[in-house]
Amino acid sequence: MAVQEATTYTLGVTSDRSVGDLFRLAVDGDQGAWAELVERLSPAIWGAARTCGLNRAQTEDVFGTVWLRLLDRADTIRDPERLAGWIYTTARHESLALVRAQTRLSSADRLDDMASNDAAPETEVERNDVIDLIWAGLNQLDQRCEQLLRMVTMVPKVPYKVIAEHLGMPVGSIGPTRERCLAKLRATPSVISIVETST
Amino acid sequence: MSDQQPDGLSDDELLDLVAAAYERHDPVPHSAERFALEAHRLVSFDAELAEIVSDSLVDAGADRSSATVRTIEFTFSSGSIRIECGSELVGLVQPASDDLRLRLDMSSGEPVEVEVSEGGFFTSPAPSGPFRFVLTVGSDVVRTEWLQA
Repeated sequence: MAVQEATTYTLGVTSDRSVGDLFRLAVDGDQGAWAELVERLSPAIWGAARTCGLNRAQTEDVFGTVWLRLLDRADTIRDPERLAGWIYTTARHESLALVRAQTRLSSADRLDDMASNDAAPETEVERNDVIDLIWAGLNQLDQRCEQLLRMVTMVPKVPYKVIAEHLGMPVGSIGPTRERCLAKLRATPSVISIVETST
Repeated sequence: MSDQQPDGLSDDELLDLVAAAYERHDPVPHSAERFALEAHRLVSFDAELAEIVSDSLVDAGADRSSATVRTIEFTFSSGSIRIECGSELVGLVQPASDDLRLRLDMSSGEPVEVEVSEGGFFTSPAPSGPFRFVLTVGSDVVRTEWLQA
């Protein structure tokens, strides 16, 4: 393996290389490939943990654990092209393990904290554009709809089979449920106000 | 664009905005990404991964809250290593040998060489974040998983 002296990991550089190619290069010591892999797959880990109900601090712990586990287990990844699925599944397992450990160790107030979306708007309220209103609308949805909409919009795409397992619903229900959740989102005061502010 | 929706947004457009909302309001922190990037710097893909044969944290099950020191035992092809993770790390490598070198990798900060006694014992301050040991005996390199004290 190549000796790595420099630590020039740069985010923001993307190519048309596949996840599998990036992973193979990263295992050979290519720092640029690793950086691109981190950039592409990080949202999947973050989203998987957040849809398990973890708060941002807990999610950051899981995030680090998953990347370290990938590095530990690199030689066991048989199909690098399916790495996104491995990442997502591992993030979910780690998240659920953390939820179980917290449940054992502490009282319900911690669960309340986990269930609450403490990552809510950190930006200035004055940025009253459509995306902010959509975000506010998402926070007005029930947890199941919020999780579903997050999962169906994640990149890389999460397979419906995985979403179904995560949410405990048949694969065939995801499409109709997605439609219902979008309808609920449209019906939130925040999203309704998009029309009101634009007319 | 949908003609039917009062907000003038098609489902696909609304889903794009949902994705953008998550990206803007619940992004992956830069510190977390930086951690993932730097973890690659410490990797030793060619090293043998030691196998955990016992972990007091796992063995304790529901009683884990009563444990103050986590004890983990690893085996590898030519020996074993035992680590107690308390206020400091205390461990034993077997078999001990003159050409044995032990390195402590930490997720934050530079790797540290750890002195190993003739009998194979070693101690080190406990890192605050994830860590692992990399053991070198002659040309053989063995690493543990990343651990949390």
